[in-house]
Amino acid sequence: MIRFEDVSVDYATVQGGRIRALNHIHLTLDDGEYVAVMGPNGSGKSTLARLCNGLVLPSAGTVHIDEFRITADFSRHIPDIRRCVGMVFQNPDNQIVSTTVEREIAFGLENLGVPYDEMQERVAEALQTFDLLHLRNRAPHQLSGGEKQRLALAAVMVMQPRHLILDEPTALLDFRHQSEFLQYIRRLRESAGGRPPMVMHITHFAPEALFATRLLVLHRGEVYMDGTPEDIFLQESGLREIGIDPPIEFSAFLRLREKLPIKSVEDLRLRPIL
Amino acid sequence: MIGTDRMKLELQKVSFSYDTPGEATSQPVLMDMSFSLNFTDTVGVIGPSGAGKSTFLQILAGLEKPDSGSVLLDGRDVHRDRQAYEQLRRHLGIAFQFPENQLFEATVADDVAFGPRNQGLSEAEVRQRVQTALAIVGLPPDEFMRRAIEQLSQGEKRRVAIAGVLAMQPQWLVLDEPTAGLDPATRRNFIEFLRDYHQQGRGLVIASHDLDFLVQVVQRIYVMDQGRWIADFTPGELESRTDADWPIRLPRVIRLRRRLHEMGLTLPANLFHPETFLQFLERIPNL
Repeated sequence: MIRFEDVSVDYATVQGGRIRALNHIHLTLDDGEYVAVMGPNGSGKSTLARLCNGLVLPSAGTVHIDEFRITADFSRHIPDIRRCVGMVFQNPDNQIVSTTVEREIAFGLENLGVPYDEMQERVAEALQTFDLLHLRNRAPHQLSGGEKQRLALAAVMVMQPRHLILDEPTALLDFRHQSEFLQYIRRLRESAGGRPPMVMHITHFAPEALFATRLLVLHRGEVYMDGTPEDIFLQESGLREIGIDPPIEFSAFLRLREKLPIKSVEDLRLRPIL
Repeated sequence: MIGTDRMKLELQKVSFSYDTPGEATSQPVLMDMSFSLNFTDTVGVIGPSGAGKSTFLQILAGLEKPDSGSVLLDGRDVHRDRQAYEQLRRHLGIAFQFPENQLFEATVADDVAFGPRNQGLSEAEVRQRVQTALAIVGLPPDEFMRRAIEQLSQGEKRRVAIAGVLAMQPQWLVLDEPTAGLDPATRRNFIEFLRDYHQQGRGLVIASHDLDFLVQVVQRIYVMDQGRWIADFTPGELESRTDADWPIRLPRVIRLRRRLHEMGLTLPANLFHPETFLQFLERIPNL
């Protein structure tokens, strides 16, 4: 569970001013939820994500992550928090440190002192899951953008984090790997049993949000909409006002419901979803 | 517009590989690729990750030298003819996949101005170019020109880097995954900008996974897989393709149009712009 209790974040600018990135956020993201986050550039999405593992500290308020917390002047729990929150960014270059794909995936496990046999097993599984087996001896800098992104995902997932924060993790993936990744997240949530993770997934690609159980739309550092993706995407004018387009079948449904014998947007849903 | 109105860029049977440590043979990235780009052509390149798209763009820009085959500008080999090479560098602007790693000035304005200043433009003209380019990538110039690069977010840096290439207004604009990280409003503006750019008599080469985007901005799309071309088509020709046995997925507008067709609503082909498509639906009378 991640809970934001009256959280605000201010950044200092070069000119000595301050920019408010998040404004009095109250929000509870429960275990088992898959929360998509959308919003225009500069709406506070990445700041919200970075609060979840202490990369950004709140200027006011408290961020609770399971039994841990972070405030402006209390950061002692951050090492615990980083062990339970896995984070994947859009630009994988900033996350890759090793000389081969296989070593990169093993790196975090070595640091944790995971026994050798178990490590081998987990690395082999991650190579398989993220379609990296044929690239395992490659140097990360020789990989393509999409391959690097899969590597960054593998290196985080092999650590089996409690919660997952994904900041545009599929922006460079081709559609096959994008679908595979979303299926993987679905399996991960379904197989977790009694203690499912919370997954936060920032995206600009509306159809991707249809995989989530909840959609948060941010605007100017505040929660602008909060609900199921299906409900929110039917609020077209509100979304367009801040520059966000629903998936085209939702907009089409709103224009055609009086013109075709269709009862709900389900009649127009595209399969596969992406 | 630049006066060389018959410029043509060609790849002739280009092969290229990177050396791979720990593996006996080097991995071929491009195999026997030929390609031809006239000076106002607009071309999209799509294909699975690892297909060699980024390498293809680097070769096209003269930044990597082929192992065999040649890159010709108006018939002159750019790796043998210094003048041809310099002409290519001047007329072709490229933004890489992670362009934010290549920023080096202290402020946004100076970074975007670097290219146009080197072209010898007046300071007034440079300023104009910088403002225009920043607005296109969704960074309001008043707010961003004086900002320090190191204080920008990753996404903002990427857009500054793309603005730096746009500000040079090259004859050929070459972009690698330019829509990654753009919000929908910025993406829409960017599409408009690229269409205008072509209207002004310039060419585009864009590698992207985003076929919905490509069909709105280019005349022809090439599909690449494992270092080779496996197909090419115009956006209109996509209408008759099916998803099966295809390494790419059809644009959502086309899939929705087919869905509606199954339900008895036939819409004209070639409505690739989602807004135009929706306007069309609005004009259909009620039952």
